[in-house]
Amino acid sequence: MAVEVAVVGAGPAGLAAAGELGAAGFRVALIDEYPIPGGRLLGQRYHWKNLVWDGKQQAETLVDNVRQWHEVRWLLQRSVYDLERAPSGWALSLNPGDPSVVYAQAVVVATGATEVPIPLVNWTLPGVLAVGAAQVMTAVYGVAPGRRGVVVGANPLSFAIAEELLEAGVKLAGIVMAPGSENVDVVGSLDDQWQRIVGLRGGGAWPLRTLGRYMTHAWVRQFLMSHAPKSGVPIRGVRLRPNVVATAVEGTERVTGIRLARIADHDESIREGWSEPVDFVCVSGGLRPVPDLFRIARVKTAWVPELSGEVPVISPWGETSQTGLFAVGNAIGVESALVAIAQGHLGAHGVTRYLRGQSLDYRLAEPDQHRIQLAREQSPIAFHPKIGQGVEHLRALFLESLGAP
Amino acid sequence: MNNTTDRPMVIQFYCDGEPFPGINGEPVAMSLWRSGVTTLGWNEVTGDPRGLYCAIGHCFECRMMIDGVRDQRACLYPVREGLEVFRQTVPTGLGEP
Ligand SMILES: Cc1cc2nc3c(=O)[nH]c(=O)nc-3n(C[C@H](O)[C@H](O)[C@H](O)COP(=O)(O)OP(=O)(O)OC[C@H]3O[C@@H](n4cnc5c(N)ncnc54)[C@H](O)[C@@H]3O)c2cc1C
Ligand code: FES
Repeated sequence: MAVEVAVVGAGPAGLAAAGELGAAGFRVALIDEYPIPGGRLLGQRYHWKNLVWDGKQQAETLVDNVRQWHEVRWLLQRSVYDLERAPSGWALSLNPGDPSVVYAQAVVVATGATEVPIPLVNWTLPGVLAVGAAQVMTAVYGVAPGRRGVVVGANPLSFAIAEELLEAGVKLAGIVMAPGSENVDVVGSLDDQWQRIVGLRGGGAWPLRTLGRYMTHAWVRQFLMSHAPKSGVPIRGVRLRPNVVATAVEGTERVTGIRLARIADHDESIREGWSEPVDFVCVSGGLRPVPDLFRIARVKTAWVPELSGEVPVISPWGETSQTGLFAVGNAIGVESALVAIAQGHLGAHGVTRYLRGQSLDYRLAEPDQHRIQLAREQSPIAFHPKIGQGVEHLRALFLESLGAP
Repeated sequence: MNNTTDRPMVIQFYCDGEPFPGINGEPVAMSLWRSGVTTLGWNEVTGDPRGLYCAIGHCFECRMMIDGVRDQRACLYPVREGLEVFRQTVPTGLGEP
């Protein structure tokens, strides 16, 4: 199959891009390995400024918009596993085939983010889930992950999903901490985890709003967190148990319990251990962008902590270091769906200019960049408190690459 | 394609030859979980039970033989009337470890 643009990923970013490209009259292939379009929007549902953020509804609106453009071909249930230069642009390999290769003059990579796992003893037992899996089960398919579960790992995603689970009638033994580990850098020490909780902002996940500002002082934070009651402190209905860590999952054929321990007041040594009965365990080490296709296409990438991981160095139009290869959405930094949508629009405008041979001078992207910034400010969730710094860092890397020979 | 708003259609499919109910179009792993089947296969080396982990196609923990093809992700694969799925053990061709 030959098209002008291939969009990889039909989450909010890819759908927004495909909608704009369809409106501009391009022949587009919109590819996604999931059977339903919408990406991670499908499971999102929470209260926000007295409204309900209904991701399923948002996804339907985006999908309907794309459907009106008949030049957009839907290729669902197909994974893109290779991306190579071809004489006229790019060749994308699909599995399963039919078509097995899509040729495109330009490509928009909108493959989103993935969850960072937290290794625990026995964590391969059925019933141990990434927290996002529990979200998909409950919100998309109406399947309860279990009767009573526990969430290991505190971050914006786990708070938002814990709230969703409670609302769906699933019981939780609370959010407990991951065993502190210097070896697993995403987790870090207990105080690293506390600092991240204190730094959180956002509607779904807003813990410790009032106390939060005092907790930036290390000793206040450490004192309050380590002296919290064993049963935890309620945050929007969810019990955060900041001085309780998960040490192992229990069960033989499937999860039957969780081994927990309380840490001592002034150091991180374990004081007492006990078991609590649960039939599922959600682990949550946060989100990171999916870098796979960028690596395959040998795109220049950089590690930007505020964007949650390895991201492509892109121009303000979303073009990577490989001409004709654009990147949008969570694949270029973990942010909310509103930001992903705005980035999808920008990427589509960049591709349009590229295909029409118009200038891709980065200064011309200002209005679109401004819309992304607005979306960022309006977002119900911020996945990193210093996201702005990450965006600036990426921009600086791009400007630097302009100067490079 | 987008059948989430249509009325759910209950179908019957087979796991290891046994009949199970499912909702047409939902992933195989979801139908099985609803019926209490959480073990989707066994680790090829250790024999430990394995099941759904990420539910979005990232981790490959949910590999099953579906429609006669090994290593299909059960969290993505849509269930339909009469579909045959099998839980995997040791891969054919690799033999016992
Ligand atoms: C598990 C999880 C839960 C989340 N929950 C929330 C939440 O509650 N609130 C919130 O604001 N944000 C949440 N996010 C962040 C979320 O990533 C953004 O809100 C938003 O969905 C990002 O949009 P996107 O289009 O960039 O990516 P996504 O929505 O992730 O869409 C990417 C799409 O690309 C497809 N894809 C990926 N790789 C390939 C490939 N190689 N071939 C074919 N298709 C591919 C995927 O199937 C997916 O449909 C969550 C993220 C994850 C991973
Ligand atoms: S559960 Fe992770 S790929 Fe299916």
